[in-house]
Amino acid sequence: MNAVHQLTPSFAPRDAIGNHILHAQAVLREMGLRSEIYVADAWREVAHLTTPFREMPAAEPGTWLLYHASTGSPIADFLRERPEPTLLDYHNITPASLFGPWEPHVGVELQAARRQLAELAPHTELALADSSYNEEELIALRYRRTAVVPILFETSSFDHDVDPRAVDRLRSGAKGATWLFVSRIAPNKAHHDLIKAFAVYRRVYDQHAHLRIVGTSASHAYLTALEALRSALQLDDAITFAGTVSDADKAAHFAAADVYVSTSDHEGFGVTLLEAMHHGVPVVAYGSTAVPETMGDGGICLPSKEPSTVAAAVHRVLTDASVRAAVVAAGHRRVAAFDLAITRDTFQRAIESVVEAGPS
Amino acid sequence: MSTEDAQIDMQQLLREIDDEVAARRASGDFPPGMERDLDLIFARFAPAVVASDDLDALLEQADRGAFVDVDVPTGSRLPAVSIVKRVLRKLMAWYLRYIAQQVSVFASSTVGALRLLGRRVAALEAATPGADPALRAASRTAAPPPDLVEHHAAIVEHLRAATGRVLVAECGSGALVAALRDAGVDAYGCDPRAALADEAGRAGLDVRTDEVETHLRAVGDAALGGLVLAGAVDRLPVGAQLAVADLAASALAAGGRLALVGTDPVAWGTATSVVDADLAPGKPLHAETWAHLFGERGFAEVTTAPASPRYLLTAVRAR
Repeated sequence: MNAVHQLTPSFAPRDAIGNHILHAQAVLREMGLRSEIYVADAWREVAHLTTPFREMPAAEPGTWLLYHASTGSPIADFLRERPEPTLLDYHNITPASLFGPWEPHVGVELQAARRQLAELAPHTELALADSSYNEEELIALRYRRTAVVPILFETSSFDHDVDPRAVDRLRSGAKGATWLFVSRIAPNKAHHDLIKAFAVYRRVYDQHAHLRIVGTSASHAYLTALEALRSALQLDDAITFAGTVSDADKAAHFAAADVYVSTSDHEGFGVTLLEAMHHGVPVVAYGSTAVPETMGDGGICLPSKEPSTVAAAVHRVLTDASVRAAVVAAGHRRVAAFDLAITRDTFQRAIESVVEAGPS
Repeated sequence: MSTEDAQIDMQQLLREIDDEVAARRASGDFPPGMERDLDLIFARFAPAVVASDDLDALLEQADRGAFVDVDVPTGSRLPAVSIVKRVLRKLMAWYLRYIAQQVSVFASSTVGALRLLGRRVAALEAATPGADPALRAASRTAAPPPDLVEHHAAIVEHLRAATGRVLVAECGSGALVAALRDAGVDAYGCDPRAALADEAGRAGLDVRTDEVETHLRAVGDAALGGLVLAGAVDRLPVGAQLAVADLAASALAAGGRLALVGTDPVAWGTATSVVDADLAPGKPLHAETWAHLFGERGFAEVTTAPASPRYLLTAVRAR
């Protein structure tokens, strides 16, 4: 092996998978391998780091291809035609059943993406997965050889200069606790369950509490329903949809938050859970899919997301100083477990294992 | 001990959170039906398929989506862009309309075909015991509330050690839910008969109008500390009975406690309601069969207390 080129459906700045790909490229190059990034689509700010996948040169001996699977892409079909041995890094594909009812066209795309993932199994020498949860899906699809390699990130990438005025603005007039959830607004993230839990919390524990939801909308229909739910519960002044924010603003949101709460139904990993822990915000999350594995004991991982249970858990962490301190400290320890030096090493060993074995 | 060294017993903390929820329920801070009301509010805004499994509603939704609108919005914060968009729309209208009409024709004929298929499936269901929704509805209406009184004491005793919420499904007007609550168990119930669920709500109990299968699918994996199955488990077709066993295994946490009150097949329709037996899409299973099914699904300490007409089976989800 003398080259491992990465292919990804899309490449964006400030994106967990995008950062992962850049770290992987650095590791591969440090291993003495050539490594370029080929994309179907790249944001303008980072396009100079990539090459369109259709422009990939003819196959050379000793070259391997590493495909990052997270959605449907023409790259998957392109790969099956290529002679190079293939590696796959699976970042999970949202089940169509969670998205389809809200955005049927997205549901169809997600189904196609899962079909592509299954079709790549016989062509793949080694499939990496961000989590054991993701790995189980690969095994179910008959991938022969799999390994768990957590997503590569640097905790320093969570640190940004926080404008104190932005924090003051977020805190101004706050008489109660501030809940925070950072994620794109999509049905699988179950913001509606978060709003229900928040409604119960306000009703019983803290009538001045505020919920801030940060993230761009991936479903207009779902966002519209969330806004209608907010109004029906008379929480228009208590819940803010902040939309997409800059890195500095996101850091300000973490600085102004008292608790980070997630009721998501589907996470292949969950980087923002770790980001909250890094910022010293206690995390309360419903333990679905890969969430328990990512959180470890770094936060309160609930077996149920009944609104009453979520509300009671948040109340506990916000009113019991010793619990709060212990959860925050555990969060810091948990983030340390994903230290880049450790995860880079895991990634490198996985790649070396296929180098030693060679293509089948 | 410094803050950095602080450790936490997460299992103990989760138990304390459960205790807090139970205390708030008992005090009325979390009123009965609170979760159900929140679900119903959201259901008003969710697509039909999220809120229910109503095929007609889904087809209606598909029908509405079959029309492709070529009247593209042209608004923009920048006036010049808006003008450009309007010009583009005008220039491309003939082209888009030509394509859209074909897509609309295809989509509406597909929906029409699905409606036809739906009618044929309905006819097949009507002729297939156990599959007909009308028969299930008739059976549900005819079935008396599960009579669990003779087993109340044993069930309460079995579930007293449960950690986490305990679901009673079906629970009728909630007598067993009340008995469990009186024993300090954080219990709630579900029953598909709205009148019974409402009666329980008026009595201060948390009882939701829901089918056993639907409700068990909605609760998360390992979300329950205990589960009581009664009523519907006698009447369901055998495939659905197997599905309930699977769902029970998923919904109960490790160490979770299960109680099932089933009707002795010999007494079905003789010592129990004849109308219920006649209209039921399925028939009760023997206690031994349930014991076998739960044993296969990782339950331990499976014991049965024979009684007529209804036996009690208890088990514990293996850790």
